[in-house]
This record gives sequence, C-alpha cells and structure tokens, in this order.
Amino acid sequence: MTATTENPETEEVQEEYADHLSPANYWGIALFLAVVTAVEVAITYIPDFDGTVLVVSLLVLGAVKFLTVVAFFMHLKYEPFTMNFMFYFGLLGALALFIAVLLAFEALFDSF
Amino acid sequence: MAIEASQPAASTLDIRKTAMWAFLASELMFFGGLISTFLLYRARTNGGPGSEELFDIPFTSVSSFVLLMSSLTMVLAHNAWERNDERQLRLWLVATASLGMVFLGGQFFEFSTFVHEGLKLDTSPFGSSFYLLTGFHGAHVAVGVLMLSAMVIISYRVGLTKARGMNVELVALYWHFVDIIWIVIFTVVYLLQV
Repeated sequence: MTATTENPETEEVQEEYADHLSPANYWGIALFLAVVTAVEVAITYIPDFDGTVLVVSLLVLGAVKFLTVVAFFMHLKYEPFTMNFMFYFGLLGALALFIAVLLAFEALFDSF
Repeated sequence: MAIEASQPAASTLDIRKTAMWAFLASELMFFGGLISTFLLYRARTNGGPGSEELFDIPFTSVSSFVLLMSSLTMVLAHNAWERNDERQLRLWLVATASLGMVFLGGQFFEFSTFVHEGLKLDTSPFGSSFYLLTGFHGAHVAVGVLMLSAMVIISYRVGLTKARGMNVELVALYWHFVDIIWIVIFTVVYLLQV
C-alpha cells in the first residue's frame, strides 16, 4: 500500500524537491547513459578508429556520462553554490594530482 | 521545545549533506591517486599477463551496465522518498542493493579468472595497481550494499521519515559516487588499455 501521509513535514520535503525530475525523465536519462556506454564499447572495435581520435572520443564520452550522473542523478545542479564548489574543487584537485603525478614520472602522454 | 529537540533542524540536515559532498570530493582525490598509480605501472607486467591478454571488454561492459542501472534504481528510490511512497522506496532500495551484489559477483568472477590466468597481487606492478584500484572500488560498492540493506531494515522497523530520510539522500549520493568512479575506471583502465 502506498503511504501518503499528509503532514507539514511531508509537504516541506515535497516542496524542497519540487524542481527534481520525474521518474519518466530518469528512465530517459538511464537510456541515454546506456546508449553512450554502447557507443564507447562499439568504437573500440572499429579498426580504423584508433590513436588520438579514439582516446579523445572515449574521454569525452566518459566525461558526458560522469557529468550527467552528477547533475541529474546526484541532483548537483539543484544544489547551492557551496556544494557545487566543494565537489568541483575536489574534481579539479583530482585532475591536478593526476596530471602532476604523470608529469613527474614523464608518463602523461604514454598513459593512453 | 520538545519537538525541536526530537527533530533535527533544517540547517543541521544541510550540514550533513554538505559534509557528504566534502567527503565525496576527498574520495575523488583518493581515486585520482589510485588511477594515476595504475597508469604509471600499467606497462610493467614483469613478464606476467597484461591488460590486452586479460581484459574481457564485453563482460566488463555488462558489469558497467549493471552498475549504471543501479544508479537509475537509486534515483527512483530517492524519488519515491520525495513522494513519501515508502513501498516504492523499499522496492527500489532492494533493487539497487541487488544490482550492487550482481556487480560484486562479476568482480569476484573477474578477479578469479585473472588469478587463474597468472595475475596475482604480487605478480607485477600492473597487477598490484590494478587490484588495488578495482579492489578499493569493489570495497566501496560492498559498503554501499550494506548501507542500502540498513536503509531497508530501518524502513521496515521505524519508517524513513524526513529526519531519517536524509539518510536515504546521503546513501544515494554515496551510491551515485561509486557509479561515477566506475565510469572513469571503465573508460581509463579498461577501454583505453586494450
């Protein structure tokens, strides 16, 4: 049975998340993510599709999936600036660490 | 007042969510370090098997799809909580935990196959860095499954009210984070190395 308690607490919660997407939208986003994953796998099997083009394509497709999940499933696009700043600061920190380590060992361009 | 004492204030809940985002940001740097280490050592196989001989992309693609779909079921659980629909909430939480366990089963199978083919933790720097990275991710998934199971039990025993419902939101953030880390691992560690 579906619980539909009507009280101020519930109304407050529903108001707070009123701008979030509907279940149908979430299914649509999941379909999009599945298609992008299929494209990622498919392009690795195309013989002439290699080298820099393949690396850049896979990194771009991966970034699209990453940001889609963060924005819509994690609802970061609806969160205040502080939370966005915190997460993207961590992401930039991770990228900086990644580049610094690989540059330090002169391995950045040999890694892919 | 008694009511204020028994229910966390809105600002307290926001602090919990902010703290979770800060934790996830620190986790990003943690996994950034592990991925960098893997890329440094990926070619040092010490004569043992490397990524091209071992990686089974179709199998890992299915695992990735399973984890991706668990993010869908998690967001549907969160949506059910927003609508105060406890039955749907439980259903989607159980579905998410189940998909997480399927993913873990796949990882166990993959590790078993790799060990059988000669890649152990101490075989080579490639093996050590691969198992360290994917093993830590798997441990995060296992922790997530435990938290989801706890949510289901709490839902049956006392219900997931707004005060406890923030836990659904925090667990959802953690679970989606596990998914986005796998998106990076699948692209950088698997697809770009074969």
